[in-house]
Amino acid sequence: MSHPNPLVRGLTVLALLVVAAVEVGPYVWMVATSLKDLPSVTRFPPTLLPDPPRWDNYAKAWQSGPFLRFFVNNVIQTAAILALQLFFACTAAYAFAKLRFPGRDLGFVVVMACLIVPPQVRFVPLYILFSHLGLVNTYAALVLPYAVSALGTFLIREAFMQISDDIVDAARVDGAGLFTIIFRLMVPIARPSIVAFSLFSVVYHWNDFFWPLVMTTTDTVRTLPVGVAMLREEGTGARWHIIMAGSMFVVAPVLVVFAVAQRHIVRAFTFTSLK
Amino acid sequence: MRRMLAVVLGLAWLASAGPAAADPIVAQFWYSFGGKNREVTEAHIKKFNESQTKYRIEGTFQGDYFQALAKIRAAAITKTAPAAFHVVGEALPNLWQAGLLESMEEYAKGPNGTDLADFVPGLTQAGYFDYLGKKPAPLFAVPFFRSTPILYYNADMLAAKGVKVPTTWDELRAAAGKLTVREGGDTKVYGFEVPVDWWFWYGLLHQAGGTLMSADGKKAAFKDRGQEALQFWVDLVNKDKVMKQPPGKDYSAWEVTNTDFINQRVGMIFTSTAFLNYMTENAKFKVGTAFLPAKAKAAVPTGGTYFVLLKDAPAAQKEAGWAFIKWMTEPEQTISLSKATGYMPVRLSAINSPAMQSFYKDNPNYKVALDQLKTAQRFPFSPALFDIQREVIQPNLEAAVLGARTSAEIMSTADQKANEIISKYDK
Amino acid sequence: MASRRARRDAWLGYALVGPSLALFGLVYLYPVAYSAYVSVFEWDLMTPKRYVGLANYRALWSAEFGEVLVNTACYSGGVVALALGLGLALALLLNHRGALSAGLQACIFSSYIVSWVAVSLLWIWMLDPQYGLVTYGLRLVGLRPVNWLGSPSVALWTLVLVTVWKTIGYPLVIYLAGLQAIPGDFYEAAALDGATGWKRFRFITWPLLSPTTLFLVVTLTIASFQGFDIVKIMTGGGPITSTMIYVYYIYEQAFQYFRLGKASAAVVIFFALILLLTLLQWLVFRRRVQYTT
Repeated sequence: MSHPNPLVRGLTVLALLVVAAVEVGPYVWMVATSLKDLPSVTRFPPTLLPDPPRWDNYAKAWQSGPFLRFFVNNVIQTAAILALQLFFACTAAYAFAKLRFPGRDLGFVVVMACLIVPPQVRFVPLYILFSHLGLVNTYAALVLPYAVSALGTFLIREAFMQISDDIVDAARVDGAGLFTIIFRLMVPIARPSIVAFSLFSVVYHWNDFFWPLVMTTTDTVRTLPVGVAMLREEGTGARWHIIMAGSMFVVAPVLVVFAVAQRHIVRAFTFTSLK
Repeated sequence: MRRMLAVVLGLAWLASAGPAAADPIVAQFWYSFGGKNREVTEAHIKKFNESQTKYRIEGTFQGDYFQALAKIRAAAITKTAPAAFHVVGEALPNLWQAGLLESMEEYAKGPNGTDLADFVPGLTQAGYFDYLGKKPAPLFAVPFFRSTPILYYNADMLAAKGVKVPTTWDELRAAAGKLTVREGGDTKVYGFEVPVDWWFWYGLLHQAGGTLMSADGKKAAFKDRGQEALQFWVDLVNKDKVMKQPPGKDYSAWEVTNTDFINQRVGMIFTSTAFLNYMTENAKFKVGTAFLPAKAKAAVPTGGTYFVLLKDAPAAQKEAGWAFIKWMTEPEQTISLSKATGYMPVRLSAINSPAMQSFYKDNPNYKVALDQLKTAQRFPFSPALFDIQREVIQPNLEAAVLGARTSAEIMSTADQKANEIISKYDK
Repeated sequence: MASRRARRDAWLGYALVGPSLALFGLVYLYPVAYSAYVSVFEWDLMTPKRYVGLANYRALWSAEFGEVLVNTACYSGGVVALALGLGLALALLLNHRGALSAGLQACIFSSYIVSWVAVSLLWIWMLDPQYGLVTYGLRLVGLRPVNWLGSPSVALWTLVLVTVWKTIGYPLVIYLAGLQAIPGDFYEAAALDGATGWKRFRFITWPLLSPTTLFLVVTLTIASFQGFDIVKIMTGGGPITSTMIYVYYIYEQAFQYFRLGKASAAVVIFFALILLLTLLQWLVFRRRVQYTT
């Protein structure tokens, strides 16, 4: 971007601005729509700025269901899944990367095979199984099926494999216990991968609609995306303003988290250059 | 002051120490709509719960129609199904034959029964199905939100162009031609739009004089008239270029159709009477409604959903479910449900009540679907019905309109597949 | 001494991997085994299962399923290639500090974190061939409107573009981080040798980014194979079957047609295919990844 030729530089900046506008444009439209009233929503050509902004759309969306509970459930679900995924992935990755035992590679292939199994395939058998265990409509039903992540295990194993055995042996000689080695020595070194994976996991599970819908029968443990889905009316173009307001409740927390974490994400990666 | 408090507390204690009110029987009602319909339903559920103490109904959203159906079946397997649910008519024979549904005959005639004769004949289970010469199934479904497709037209647009409301296919074609506005190579306004969808096709099939199945339900019978119906669309879109085929599958296409109408991008559409509230509230022009145009005859399908009870639920819950269903279909409720949504009231006494009569006088559009019921077509009571709709017809209609295959090819393949499915169930 | 250590390592290995594998078995492999079992029956989730042997597999040996495979490969390939390529290009362009860069990054990333539902419906309107914003834009520059979602030959690529639009923020952020982790010494040494621009990229940047690239290829491929929401909301697998991809096909068979046997057979076939593919992809990339250590 620091091309000597100012024309090229200018064009580059222009191109980037266009890209950014295209990327963020629809998002801006979402926010604008969330503040409009009904006639303005379906009008074409669309107006951009609502006048006056209807903040009560947010109240209406929030009150359409137990949104506070949905929000809390969403946090619990996403955090629990991430915590479990990281714990299991780090421990298993350590074993796959640094230990030798018969069947290790086969075990890893099994993990990799799980990468392709989408939730739509898992729904019926797990619903039936969890129902027999009395776990449908509980946090367990939302969290357990995602407690282990094949992607996470794969990525963290890759990262661990890059860490030289000498470092690990040195720590052992120093008398470091297993979990100290994994979580205090290797995890910080593998931070880029872990952070990158965590980002992926959080965004995915925070926005997940399908699983919390099909594994629950009442609103007790449901999450925000399900709450937003309840605002939709199939067939009509109505109430987009309320639906967008509801969607903002889902988006805003992640935006905040990302804004706060952005610096950390960058730092997590630059740490490796200090090797 | 303290004595007053003591007296009050004492009285309160006494009151609560009386014979304990029995805990209400709790039952679940699963539904599959969001937005306005959900709000209206939840409001009524609340009202039901407040109106008596014996039963308490919990309503929960279960996703879209197919997600809900899948969950019902999965729940039935694990014996955790809710007591009450609502189903589209086409899925009823399937569910009944599988033994999933509870017969309502006893409930309807029992102590907490309801006046079956008061239901609008065209909207009931008995009025919806053709039992194909076999013994009619017992009552197991009671109408909930019921509708017919109607012709919506932009009255201002038609008046400005001097176009009369069409009553036949040919008139529809001509009218659409006059309403279409082209500028250069683009079409600014289309004359007509309708989702290329089973429901409307079913109407066209019957308007052309055809039926879906033979009278005994053993063979598919739609090949020729079904092709005529499909070809009508193909010509309107590709030859005359006066019809817009809304993009998207299932409800996405319906949404585009409605939005186009509101935005005056199209002059006439076919869609459900259920959207009448939405159209009237949002259109900045006069919304007119009319019967669907006829060809060999006038004909419409009915649609919407029915209440059902699930057999596997515990008896007490089914009792609660029935009480709820009965209450929801009582004249007072069916009137408030209808006014809030645009679906038709399901009771004759409701329709004939002064409240509804004056409502219809002020809002004649709402009466169109009701009047159209006299041309309502029945659906064959066959377990193959749902499969034929979902697998054989619905996904294949658009191929003709898009020019990928001819309507003859499609109907011929469909006829063959339908017969395969029918014979599978006949075994 | 060594063998005691080896045995202890083995026990440790099992202890660490055991719980993970047990959970994987329960929540991932059990459903696949269940699917394998159901795949030899005809079942609508309601009436008793009917044994049909390999009939479901035979039914899948069809043009329709072949199209699903091709669509899925095209969709995934398109998404991965474009997201990676564009993501890298953007990362290279935005790789310096500054408010503008940070602001642009934030803009680009915002679409990644929003849910599909909200943006898919907006895109449907924008792509409307009659009056969508994109159509309007095309007309402005004198191009003919395209039936983005309604034309069988175009629809799949439209979905690819919308998916890339939505997910580009992720490879951007990851590549940026990867770029910033490349020690400056390498570039200095290269500059001393007179290597600039393209040579710099080809011999330093690209090779040192290969772990990041591998990471992204795997993540994006997996994510795109599980693509479902966009299809469900925007096209329902249509027009005709041109956007029918793996997960949507299975969903449609299972939950719209209630043909669980056939859906399960599709699952088994896919599972086997992807197992093969993953192994292949992994073997190929293993040799080309370079680490700085």
